[in-house]
Amino acid sequence: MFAEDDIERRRVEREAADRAYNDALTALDRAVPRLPDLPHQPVEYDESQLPLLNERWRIATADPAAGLTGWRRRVAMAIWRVAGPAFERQQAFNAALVDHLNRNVAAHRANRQSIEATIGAMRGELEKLETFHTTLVLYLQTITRFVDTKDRSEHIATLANLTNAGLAGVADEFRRRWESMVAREQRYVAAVDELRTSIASVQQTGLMLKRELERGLAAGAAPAASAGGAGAKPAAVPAAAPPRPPAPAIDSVNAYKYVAFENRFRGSEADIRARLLQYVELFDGADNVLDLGCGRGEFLALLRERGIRAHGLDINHEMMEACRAAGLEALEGDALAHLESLPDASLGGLIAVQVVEHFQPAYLTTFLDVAYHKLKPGAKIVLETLNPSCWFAFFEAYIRDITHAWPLHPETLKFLVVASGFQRVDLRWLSPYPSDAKLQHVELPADARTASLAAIAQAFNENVDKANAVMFSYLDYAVVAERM
Amino acid sequence: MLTDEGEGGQDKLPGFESESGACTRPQGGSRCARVIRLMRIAWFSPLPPHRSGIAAYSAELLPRLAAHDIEAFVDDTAGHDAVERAARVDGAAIRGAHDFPWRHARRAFDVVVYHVGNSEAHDYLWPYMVRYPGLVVLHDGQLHQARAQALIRQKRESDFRAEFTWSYPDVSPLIADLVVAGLGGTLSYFWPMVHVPVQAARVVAVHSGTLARDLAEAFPGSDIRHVHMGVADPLARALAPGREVRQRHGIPDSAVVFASFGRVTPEKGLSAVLRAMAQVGPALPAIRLLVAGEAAGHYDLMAEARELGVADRVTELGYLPDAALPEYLAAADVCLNLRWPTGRETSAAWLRCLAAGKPTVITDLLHTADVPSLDLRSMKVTSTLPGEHEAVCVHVELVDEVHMLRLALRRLTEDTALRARLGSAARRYWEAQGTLELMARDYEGLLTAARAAADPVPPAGWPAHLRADGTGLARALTSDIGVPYPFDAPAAGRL
Repeated sequence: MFAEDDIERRRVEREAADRAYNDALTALDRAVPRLPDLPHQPVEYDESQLPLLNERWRIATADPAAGLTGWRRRVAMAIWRVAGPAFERQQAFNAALVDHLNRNVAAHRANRQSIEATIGAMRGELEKLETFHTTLVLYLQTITRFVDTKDRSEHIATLANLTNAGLAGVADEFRRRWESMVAREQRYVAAVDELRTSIASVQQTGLMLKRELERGLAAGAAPAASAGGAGAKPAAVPAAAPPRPPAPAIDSVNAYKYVAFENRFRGSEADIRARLLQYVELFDGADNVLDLGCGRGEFLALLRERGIRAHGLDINHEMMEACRAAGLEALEGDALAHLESLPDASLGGLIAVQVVEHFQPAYLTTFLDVAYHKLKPGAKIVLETLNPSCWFAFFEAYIRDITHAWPLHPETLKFLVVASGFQRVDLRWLSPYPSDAKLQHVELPADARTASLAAIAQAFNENVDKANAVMFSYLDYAVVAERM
Repeated sequence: MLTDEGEGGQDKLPGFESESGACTRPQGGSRCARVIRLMRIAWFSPLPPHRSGIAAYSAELLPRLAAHDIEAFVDDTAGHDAVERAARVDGAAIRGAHDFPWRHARRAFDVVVYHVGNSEAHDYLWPYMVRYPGLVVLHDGQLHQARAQALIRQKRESDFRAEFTWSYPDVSPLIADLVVAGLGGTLSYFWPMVHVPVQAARVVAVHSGTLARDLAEAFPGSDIRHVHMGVADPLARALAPGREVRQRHGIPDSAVVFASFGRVTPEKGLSAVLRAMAQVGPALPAIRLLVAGEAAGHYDLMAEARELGVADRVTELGYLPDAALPEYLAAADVCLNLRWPTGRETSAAWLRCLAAGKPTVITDLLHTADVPSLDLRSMKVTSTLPGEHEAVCVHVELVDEVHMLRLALRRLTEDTALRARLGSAARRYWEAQGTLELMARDYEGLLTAARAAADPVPPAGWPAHLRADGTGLARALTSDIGVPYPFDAPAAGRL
């Protein structure tokens, strides 16, 4: 990460370098040499008089008295002897001069050609130099853009690499911390499990003390009430059970009516079997599961198919007959009485589907206390019942059945289960009310969408959601817990 | 190996399949002992001399499964001589992967086993794995890097993008672009890309319970199983005294040797070990670091050691043949089995150290949290398992790595009794959790389950390139000469 002043420093340096570069480029542009005024081509050598000079250089003849005879000849010869040498010297000078001129013609011609070639070459080179300079300036102008773009792409690549390295570093650090945290979490979960076990042990001790206290109190009250006479010896009284709350009952005469009622309102055997399927895996590996209120034995059959040994209990004789006809082990009797007859820690699991709502509160709390003692450590208890916090379930289902004794709010039942010593208590929501049967939102037509209408629609829809939440939520729920 | 002491023409045992013609006479006996093979198995895995943990793993395991008729198919992408180069492995005939389709067509294998890991050594088996579903043994819970590199190397960036997008429909496809651009790095670990092998498999096996739970949660429709990881007993044969090894490398008898085995890469956490050594070094001159393993090209351990001033106490051995491992294990006082980042693999190198009865120092990772380990800050034994435990090893938290390594170096150097206790517990842990016999027993269950399982139905949106069977050219050639393609897979609807 660059500091802000570092970025500013880099910007100033960059602008200074830009200026220096542009100044240098301008100087270079100005320094491009202009083509100089080169000298004209040399004029041609004047040879016009040379033929005449070559023709006229001779001023003396070989015989100055040619054509004369006699005295004339003699006079002429005498005169020539006097004047002749001057003429001959002049002629010799003329001959040397003309010869010199003749000889320099070729040199003059060569010199001229050489000067012409030199000037031509110089012009060509100067033109090339001018072109080079212009090209150099263009090149430098081009390279500025090149360097700029190259610098940008390298900068981007550098930034990408830095970003990637940074991101990888952050990701690695994040993952290190996450890994350590989840490893610790696993250990904390294990520690919490151990705490649960300890708490369960304490709870169990408390419940056993409570039970022994109740038995002791009952045993103490019985002789006091029956002993009567003074001096009667206190007899050894076996620990008696506390007074049991009244059991839910259907008289046998009307049992057939409940079978018909069940058939009418609880759905077919196949429906019940399908909805009970979800509980089967909870009892995987268990042995001796009790299905309380087993009805027609749908769940017992599912457990049997899974290889899990189980037996059922129902107060309804007709239901028992149906179970036995299907070859299922089922007993007829009161739930609490049956549980109390079992040895402690003998049940591998307990399920009561649509049963606990038939219990009076006192019976229910006693039932949960006893169930805790009868289940093995690690065994599960499942209590499914109607959800009275859903208005539809309460008005359309709960009060429809006259044998229901007390509506159990989900939080109430969960609390009672926890208070009875069970742990890992889970509330499962079941039988969601069909979405298409719930109160529906309004959708404003596109052409009617104004701000005020939209606000009204939104308020309406929010109220619909609230109404649905209390009226049409889940028809049933189950409390699933474990005896630690 | 099961034998049937019957005549050559005897009927097959119910449920068993006899290998035709496999009849041997026991020494001095007159009856024909016919070999009974339980299952016909195809085994896709790198094998020695390939220097990878999985190659060594297969070489150790295959002899234990010799009751089956196993053909091991190795990578012959670069030519058939790869088959000749492969070391002979007891319990399996070695063939080139290209030979698999016709051999399978001629006589179908009951189970095809694919050993999948996060390295290019496993690239070759992917096409077979998606085409012929079987038992996928996932050695790493993270395949992103290897898969990306394999596809990008083949210029199949679009296939990589398709696999990534299919695997992670809710993740921005730009992540795939980032990987294609070579900028994936550590980010790859967020998206392990195990979807294809898991969903192409009849049964998936992993050696980590944590990974098995994670996969089962992520893929509820798949059959995910946890199997023991096992290694052979390094004490099975008499070890050369560690003193000889020490003398060979100039390590004094009085030194406390911390050893690291396996390929030398940054993932082995040796940089942190060197830093810790540099910090405790003046106070604990007895500490020596012995590093046995082929060095990765991009990592110079000795340069780091020199920089930190501890090079004189570090011995780097380079590649160590498997046969030499026991004597070097004997020379070590403590084994360092650090690992980060992790693909949730179970380390065979660590198990070998446990089996040798050595105290070990491991990185505290989610998938090793159930191993009872000692936290040297509190001297408490931690484990996710209920109940009391004896510490099997010492753990080092990633967020407190150098500090905890300092503690480990100091405590394990000075406390000989602690080293002895940890070593004994380590050996017992291996006996209970990490023997080859346990692994072989688990494999029998896996093979049976995989044989009974149906081929998976192609998941929705399965990328098109995974449907291609690679026979397009062959089909075109046979079609040209008017011959139907002879190797069509028998089952319809398979992947």
